[in-house]
Amino acid sequence: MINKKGELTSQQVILLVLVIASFLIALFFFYNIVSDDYSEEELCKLSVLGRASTSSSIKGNIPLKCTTEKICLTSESGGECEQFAGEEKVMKVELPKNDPQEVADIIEKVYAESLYSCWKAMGEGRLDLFGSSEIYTSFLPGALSSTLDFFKGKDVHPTCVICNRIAIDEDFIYEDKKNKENGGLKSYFIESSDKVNVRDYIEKNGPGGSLSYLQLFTDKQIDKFPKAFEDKFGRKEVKGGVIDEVGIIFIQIINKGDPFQKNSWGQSLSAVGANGALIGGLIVVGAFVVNPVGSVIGLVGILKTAVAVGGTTAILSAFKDSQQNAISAGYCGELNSPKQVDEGVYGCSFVRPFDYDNINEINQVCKNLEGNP
Amino acid sequence: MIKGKRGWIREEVPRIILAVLVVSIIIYGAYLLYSSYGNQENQKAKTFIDSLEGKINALEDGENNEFTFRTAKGWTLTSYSKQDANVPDKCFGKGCICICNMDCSGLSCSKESILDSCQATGYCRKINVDNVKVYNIPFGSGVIGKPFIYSYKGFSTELERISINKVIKEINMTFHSEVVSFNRYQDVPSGAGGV
Repeated sequence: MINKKGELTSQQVILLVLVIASFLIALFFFYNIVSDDYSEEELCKLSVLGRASTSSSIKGNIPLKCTTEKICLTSESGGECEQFAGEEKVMKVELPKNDPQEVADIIEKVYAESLYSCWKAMGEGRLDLFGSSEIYTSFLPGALSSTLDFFKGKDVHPTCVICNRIAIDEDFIYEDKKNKENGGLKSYFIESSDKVNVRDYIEKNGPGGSLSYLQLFTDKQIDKFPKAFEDKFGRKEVKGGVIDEVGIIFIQIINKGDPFQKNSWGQSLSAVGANGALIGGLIVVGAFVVNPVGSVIGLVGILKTAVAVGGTTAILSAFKDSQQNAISAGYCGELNSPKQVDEGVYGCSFVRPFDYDNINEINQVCKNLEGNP
Repeated sequence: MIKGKRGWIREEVPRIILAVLVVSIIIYGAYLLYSSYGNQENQKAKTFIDSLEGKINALEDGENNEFTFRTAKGWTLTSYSKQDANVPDKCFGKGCICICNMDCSGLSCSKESILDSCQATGYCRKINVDNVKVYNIPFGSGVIGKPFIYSYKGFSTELERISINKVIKEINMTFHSEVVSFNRYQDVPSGAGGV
């Protein structure tokens, strides 16, 4: 290989030059040409994988090539969603004019698919996508500190990606869209939205194959929601109006340590999940039922098993606040990331719908929004 | 041992070539990372201004609506009217909206500095009306009856809610918690709720 003088032979030099040149060409193609050949969904998945396999310190410099998918639900073939005026690549989904049940079915399907595709694209919450810049410190001792701060609404802000925006054509909702306040809602819209039941849909349907969305969100551990859990997602009214646009948002918070390890009081999230307990001012029984803005607000009790299994399992929670009940998928545990300094990266990831017009809530939750609008 | 000139060249040149190549790769990689990051910010700004222009154009005269926008954090939105003397070249002859790479959120920026920024790095869109107005009255500022009004809006959050009101030959914009209008320091749109 190397001659007696320790010099590289001209053959080796040529080989090295060729290898490096190939690398440069590949890099050039990756950034400039390949991106045109892939669908936006594939490009997003590729960039997510790229992020996850990159060292924490430079993650922020790798662009997350995920573009918000815009879905317009409209009753007419030529109908437009005003919410997307002036925006490109809007996918239209037509709603039937005389079948409220069919309308409800379509809305449920779009919601469920959007949640699931977002969850899948983001590596089911198991990948460290945003790096160490979002690791927080806290006055609380123990590995639970930042997770608890998050649940308690302290000044802890996850990083988010808006995967989808789903809007309903205002012509479908209002009798007179120019007079929303006083014009009233169309009776057909009310009838249709009353039939929307996403909870039921994700329990009984799946993206294909034998597994339901619910099973996929919970690592096949949950088959049914408890009867007591009443989901009114998709038809709650806000401030006297209607939520006519939701954003499906992926949220990730990086933890200082394993949120399922015991803290200084000998408690862990898994223990709480299994037994029901009061920790750090949080009432948690059975499962996380939290408002991502801050306070813990209720109990579901369906995730005892899921949370109790070693702590690194998928969870599916009902995030409930004063405005809406929303179906959400979540994961807390170790995140896949290149190992650094002999330490794993831990965190919690969620995907949930937000009222897209309630910007205060989204801005409060998401310190940073990544991905393309 | 003293080597001949030829021997030295044979020994060192491949190493130098390799070193240059490795350094080039590192510089190129760093450039790609930097430019892709910069491009993302530029792309956000461009998407925002296109979206704002599209929504303005979609409104009919006398119509108003409120929209949620994904903004470009650290950039500033401003506008220019047809009769303004100093406007960016891109805005000449018509009402215009611009988003410029200058952070004026929580800061007082001079008209001149914003104009310079818009001229150099801004994305502008001509609007088919004479007057396009942004009144930005920061919440809690000013004195009753004499609100302190900025004619620009610096973005400090990712999402902003803007109400757009289209009247004949004029467009007024109101932010979620602030009044935003372009180029008129005295004219607060009715119902804007100044401070």
